[in-house]
Amino acid sequence: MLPRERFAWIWTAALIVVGAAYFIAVGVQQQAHAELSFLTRIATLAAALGSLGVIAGGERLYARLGGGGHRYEAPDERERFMDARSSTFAYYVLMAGMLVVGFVMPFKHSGWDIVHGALLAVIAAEVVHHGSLALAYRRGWRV
Amino acid sequence: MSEKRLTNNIRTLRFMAGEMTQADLGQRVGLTRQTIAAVEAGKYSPTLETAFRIAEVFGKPLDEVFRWES
Repeated sequence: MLPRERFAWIWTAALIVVGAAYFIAVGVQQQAHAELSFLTRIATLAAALGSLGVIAGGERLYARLGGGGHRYEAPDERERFMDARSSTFAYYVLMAGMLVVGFVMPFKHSGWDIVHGALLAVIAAEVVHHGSLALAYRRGWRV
Repeated sequence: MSEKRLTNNIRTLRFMAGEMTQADLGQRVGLTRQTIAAVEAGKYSPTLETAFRIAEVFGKPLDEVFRWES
């Protein structure tokens, strides 16, 4: 398995796990206390983003150390194509999410609900990006 | 319009070139082994520049390596 494929799978799994953990944690905290403090919310968000940062740092370190003997820094033309197509899928997901967050949610929700809506859209788009990239490595696209 | 697709003789040419591996060919044209495998299987059509590079490795004209056929 190429390092890029491996990290595409890792990112997909990590985004799902961290995203789910974050929203479950926020939900549990909200049920326990009627109104969460700003500091608690920021700390929870920082923990989620920090764990993703650790993976990003690990990927950079892995690439810096030579990618386990595989070529890592320069993707070839097929890898660039797969990444571009995955980014296109993710763009549509992000666009749909932003339309909901920007045009629908402000009329029914406010404050942190909108922040969470935007965060969910970003996570969904990234899951689609890395997930479709991982599937492209595994199954290939006829192009 | 008839349905046509790009086919290739890369597997045969690798065999004739002393069982050159996909990784060797990939290294010579700047692709990963996985991409060479995808090209061979007809799952990925390389760019024109890469197609010329592959043909050059085998010392063949482009139309002896790739074909556009029904």
